[in-house]
Amino acid sequence: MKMHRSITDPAALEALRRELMAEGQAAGASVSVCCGTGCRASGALEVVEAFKQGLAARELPVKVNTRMTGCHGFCEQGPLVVLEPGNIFYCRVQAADVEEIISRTIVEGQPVERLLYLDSASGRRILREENVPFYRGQERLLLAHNGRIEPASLADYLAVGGYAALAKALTEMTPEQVIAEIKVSGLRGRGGGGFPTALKWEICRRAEGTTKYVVCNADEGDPGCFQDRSLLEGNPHSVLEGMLIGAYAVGAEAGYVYVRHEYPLAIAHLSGAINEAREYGLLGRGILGTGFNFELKISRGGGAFVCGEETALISSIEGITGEPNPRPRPPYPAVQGLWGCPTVINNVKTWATVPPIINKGGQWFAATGTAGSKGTMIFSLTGKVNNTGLVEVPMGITLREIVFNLGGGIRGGKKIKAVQTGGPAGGCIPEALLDLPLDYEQLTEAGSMMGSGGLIVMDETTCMVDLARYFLSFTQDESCGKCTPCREGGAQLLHLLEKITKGQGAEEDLELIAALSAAMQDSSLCALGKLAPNPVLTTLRFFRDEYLAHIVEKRCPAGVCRSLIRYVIDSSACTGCGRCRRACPAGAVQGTKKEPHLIDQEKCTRCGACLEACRFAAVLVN
Amino acid sequence: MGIDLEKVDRIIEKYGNDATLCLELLQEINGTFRYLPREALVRVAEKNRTPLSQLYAMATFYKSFNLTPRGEHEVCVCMGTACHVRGAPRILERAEEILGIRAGETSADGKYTLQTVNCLGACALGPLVTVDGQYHGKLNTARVEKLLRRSPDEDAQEHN
Amino acid sequence: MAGQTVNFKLNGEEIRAAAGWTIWQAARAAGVFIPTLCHHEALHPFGACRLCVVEVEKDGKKTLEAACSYPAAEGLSVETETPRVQKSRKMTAALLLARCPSVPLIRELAARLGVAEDSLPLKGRAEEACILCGRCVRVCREAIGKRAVSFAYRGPQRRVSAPFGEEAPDCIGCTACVFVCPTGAVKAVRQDNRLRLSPWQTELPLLSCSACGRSFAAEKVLRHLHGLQKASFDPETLCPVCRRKQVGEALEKVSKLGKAGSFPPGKEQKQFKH
Ligand SMILES: Cc1cc2nc3c(=O)[nH]c(=O)nc-3n(C[C@H](O)[C@H](O)[C@H](O)COP(=O)(O)O)c2cc1C
Ligand code: SF4
Ligand code: FES
Ligand code: FES
Repeated sequence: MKMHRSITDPAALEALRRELMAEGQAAGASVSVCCGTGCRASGALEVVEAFKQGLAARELPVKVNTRMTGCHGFCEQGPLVVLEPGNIFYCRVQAADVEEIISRTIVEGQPVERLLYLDSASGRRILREENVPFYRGQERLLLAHNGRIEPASLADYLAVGGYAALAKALTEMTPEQVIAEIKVSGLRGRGGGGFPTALKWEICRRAEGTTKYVVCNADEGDPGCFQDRSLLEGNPHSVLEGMLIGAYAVGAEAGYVYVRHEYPLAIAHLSGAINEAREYGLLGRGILGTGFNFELKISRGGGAFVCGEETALISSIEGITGEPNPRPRPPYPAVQGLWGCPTVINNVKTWATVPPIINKGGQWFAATGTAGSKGTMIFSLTGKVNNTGLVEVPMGITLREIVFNLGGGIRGGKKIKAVQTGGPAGGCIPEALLDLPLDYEQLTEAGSMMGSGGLIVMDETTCMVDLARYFLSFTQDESCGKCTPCREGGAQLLHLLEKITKGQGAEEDLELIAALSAAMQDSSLCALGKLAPNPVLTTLRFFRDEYLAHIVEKRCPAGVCRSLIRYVIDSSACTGCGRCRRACPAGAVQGTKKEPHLIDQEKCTRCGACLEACRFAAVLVN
Repeated sequence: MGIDLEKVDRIIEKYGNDATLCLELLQEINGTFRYLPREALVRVAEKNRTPLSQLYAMATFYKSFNLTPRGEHEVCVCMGTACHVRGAPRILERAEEILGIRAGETSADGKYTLQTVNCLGACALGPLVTVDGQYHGKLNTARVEKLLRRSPDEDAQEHN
Repeated sequence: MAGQTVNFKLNGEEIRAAAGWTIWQAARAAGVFIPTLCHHEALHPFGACRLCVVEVEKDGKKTLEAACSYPAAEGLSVETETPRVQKSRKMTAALLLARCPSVPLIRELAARLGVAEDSLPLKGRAEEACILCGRCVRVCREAIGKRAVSFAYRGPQRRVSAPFGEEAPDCIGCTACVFVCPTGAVKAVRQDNRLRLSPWQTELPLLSCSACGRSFAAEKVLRHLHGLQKASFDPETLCPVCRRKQVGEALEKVSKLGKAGSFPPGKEQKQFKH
């Protein structure tokens, strides 16, 4: 792609954009291979290589571009390939399929049936990406370009309208007008708390001090969430542009992106984008010929969930001088943040939402959603649901719609029990409340929270006590240990839950659990400790009978808690195939070929390998 | 155990005495030596006039650092929520049995280190394990067996 | 901002506090007692133990906040002894008692707040004395400027420690940490002209007074002090008692000579040295 060095003013930006778009239209066809972390894990890079070689080896009437895009959000079906023209969508593509795709689809214009997405509801294969149910119900604002552009390519980002919002903000709006526009949009922080973004910016703008900072929180520690990774990996320029606009609005000239070290690809793409932006004058001094200066650095986290908490994050960026523990607030970072200077910290998604709001106006954004929650939200839909992946949905949609329309219902035809939102800080929402519309306040009222967008679906084989124990062991593992309620209270709480899952609980324990939870919520120093009891309290509220089954009957209804279950073989279903016998690492399965097998309970370690191995549903959990 | 202090010095030089880069500096030392050798921390403290206690605090606070050498191959089991509900605990247990070490430990021959992580961000592919940074998704206990029974060295030989 | 004040309600009464004060400071000035553990007046607010929580009403919302670190602000309404506060303090005391079952300070506190022995299932080690208030770490950092010791690990494993749990190379033996520790978890033992600090695993030689011969301070401390305050006489050799004596003698001499303004004398000093 030919590009002139340095974009010196908005007119040059527009001229370049027109050129790039024309070039894009001139190109005959394109093959977009998803090269996000998920698809890479399934072999996407080999697919790209195969396309490159296959296309080069052939004389084709039109030029075909092979593009390595960011995550399309449907990682489970990966590697994904989208062919244009036609929006033809292939999933689970392997390098060996590429030859056929080239000869059938690119040359002959015919689809390769077996690679098309199979809609389990209708039993039909679907040709176009936009018609796949998983995508059809979505409203993709932030993820719109992820599958269309090369992540770190400035040219690609410009061709889809990138940096127009920045040009508009810098040349047509005052900082106050930018803040006002964000206020009209009703945008709230997407990092968990849901704090009004415009208010935060306003406080920072008004705060005393000449040196100010903007920070992008990309720590994404919530286990079960990957939308921030996906955005940074797939469209880093959109986050950059948002931060530039925010910096202009609050009066900052420097910023940091704090990324967790577990995301090497996101870091690579982000630093690529930063370098290119700097090269073309979109970072640095006198941006787009205005008096606005801005520099951006990446700060890598070291593997600590609590560093996503804003005051701990600040200490972590400051490095050796600060302990990476949360600090008492106030003062809030917007008044006293990095090195004591006013600092705006926003989540990746929050920043990426800024450019479309500036482009299309706050009114336009506010038209979607509920009274208090505007725009779209990206969820990581995972767990026992048929389609797992990233879904970007309008606020106000019900959880049921997400699970059943986009998610395609529960795996293996099982029954849904609950969904969990908000990760370890959130709570479980039982099936009966699934018609709850997506809204910050309504989720909080139900005892959960929006969080940063985790949505885990659970069926009848998920044990709610075990899940509460799981989240608590996570928060204990990640607690910084600074304050008494979280460190000591969390340890006591975890101990009690472990007792119950081992069948050693007593009914009084439930009272103590409530008291400990209340103390943690009330008096912990930071939100990690304050919110950690949520999963316990919501499961206790909605699934008390499951707790009682563990305590009184010494039984785990979901068949998960080890100490309370036995695996047995249903002799009427067992065909004697021997798979379970071979799978059992403890040698506990006995039997002769073609005869029903038996499990020796003495030897059985309850690892569940036999259950996994059995193809005839003959292994039962009691 | 002696380590190559020149390597440490080069890394210190690269990052300089910038407090904000201290985490990066330690990451690189941790990557180079596959742990944070004590001598290296002492060297950083001396050269950058950083209190050794702060380096020790960081080294023990952040999960990505190790104070004892990691094995040649790193097996990392994702324990994120999505992986948990799809059976990660069983995967971990299987991995522990096969490698003969507990999570967080390194095998006596120095070949393997088994670690857990609270989310690798590829939840749709859970349960998930990485071996030397390579992702292996949609696992079950049988596939873990296959993955770990053959050492990555054999893998490498096959590729050659 | 100097001289500015803020007005807020404390237990129903309108009180005035200097801008920049915490609720705890304002309450103390008003004669209202709020219990603390991790707080120390010589150190920055830390907010870790959560014993000092009070109920703060702001913009119509009531929350528990740590009085030791929450800034007093115009229009707040603060209650220091509501049932919610008492319940929270009681649980904090119970948690600390479970962690440190044999520390007298914690036992007294728990008894005072009505915490029953064994109210929680998980028990700490009998010899555990550290409540992780961090005063030792903070005094070393904030007051002494040494950062010889720090917190290590996190979550339930958190502890205060010298680097690698072994001897602290930056420790000067000032024993400020011993002085501020509320539970006796940090200890100093002086024996055979040596100072032993636990749990820092650190041992330092003590200097003997050149006049009386008693060992009195670690050499590194004196060097540190020497570097900080440019005392014109050599303090390295005299214990505080002898130094006072010496100063007295010098004063006497000065007054005898009737010469004002030459104190502390530079030259005469040396004659006390051996
Ligand atoms: C323990 C803890 C972990 C957090 N982790 C994250 C995170 O990974 N990403 C994030 O954006 N916000 C996280 N937050 C929320 C941040 O503190 C902060 O509220 C947020 O970054 C503000 O951005 P927003 O207004 O755009 O949401 C976390 C909070 C706590 C208490
Ligand atoms: S609540 Fe937990 S994570 Fe937060 S400061 Fe207290 S101990 Fe640390
Ligand atoms: S990584 Fe390819 S769809 Fe997510
Ligand atoms: S005295 Fe306030 S939290 Fe410890």
